[in-house]
Amino acid sequence: MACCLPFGFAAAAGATGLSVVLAPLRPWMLAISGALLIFGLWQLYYRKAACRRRSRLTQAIFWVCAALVLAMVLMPQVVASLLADHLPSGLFSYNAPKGQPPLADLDSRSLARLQAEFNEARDEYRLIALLSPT
Amino acid sequence: MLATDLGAPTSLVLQRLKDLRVRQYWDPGHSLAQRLSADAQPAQPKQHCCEQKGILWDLAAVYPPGELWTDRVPAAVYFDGPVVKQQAGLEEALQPEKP
Repeated sequence: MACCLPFGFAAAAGATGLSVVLAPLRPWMLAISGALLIFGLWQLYYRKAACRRRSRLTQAIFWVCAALVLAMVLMPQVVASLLADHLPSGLFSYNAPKGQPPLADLDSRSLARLQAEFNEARDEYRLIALLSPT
Repeated sequence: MLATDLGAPTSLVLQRLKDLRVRQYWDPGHSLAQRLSADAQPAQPKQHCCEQKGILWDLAAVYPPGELWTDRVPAAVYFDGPVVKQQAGLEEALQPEKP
């Protein structure tokens, strides 16, 4: 992977980046990133026979990705803020359109609020749609 | 219910429903879906799809004026999915009743 497929390193960095967006999967993404990097390190430096084309580019990609993953592990909030500043707005925020109440997690309290709003609009048609967040 | 349904909808998704009457909720525990399923009444149409492991998803329900949500969610006059294919049915269900 290290010599022929440096994209494995990019996958490690990508998995780390994805963990910023998919918070519930963060431990798994970081574990996958770490495993990919360790495997790459082993192939790149310790299993030289398998790596006939170890180029400077491959090594550079490896170390840049390793730095990204390490930064994500040690300073997740800093990395998230940097990504939020440089990626399209809306990717890391949860803002409902102007004029609507903020997005709320549905629990027993907010379900009661939904019920109250449903009944307040008793003179109107009411439409409930169950939609995927993605 | 999709493999990608791992987090709350971001602003990019929320901005698709701009109508001021809309209220948007994130329901990671499928509590509303379970409630709609548990409270389904015989008078309500049976959906043709949209149930996975007993949980409703990608479905639209229309409730006519006058119906109240008390201890149970009232019977819907329209209850089907997937939402993307329900435009005609929803438009018809949302037409005011003719006298």
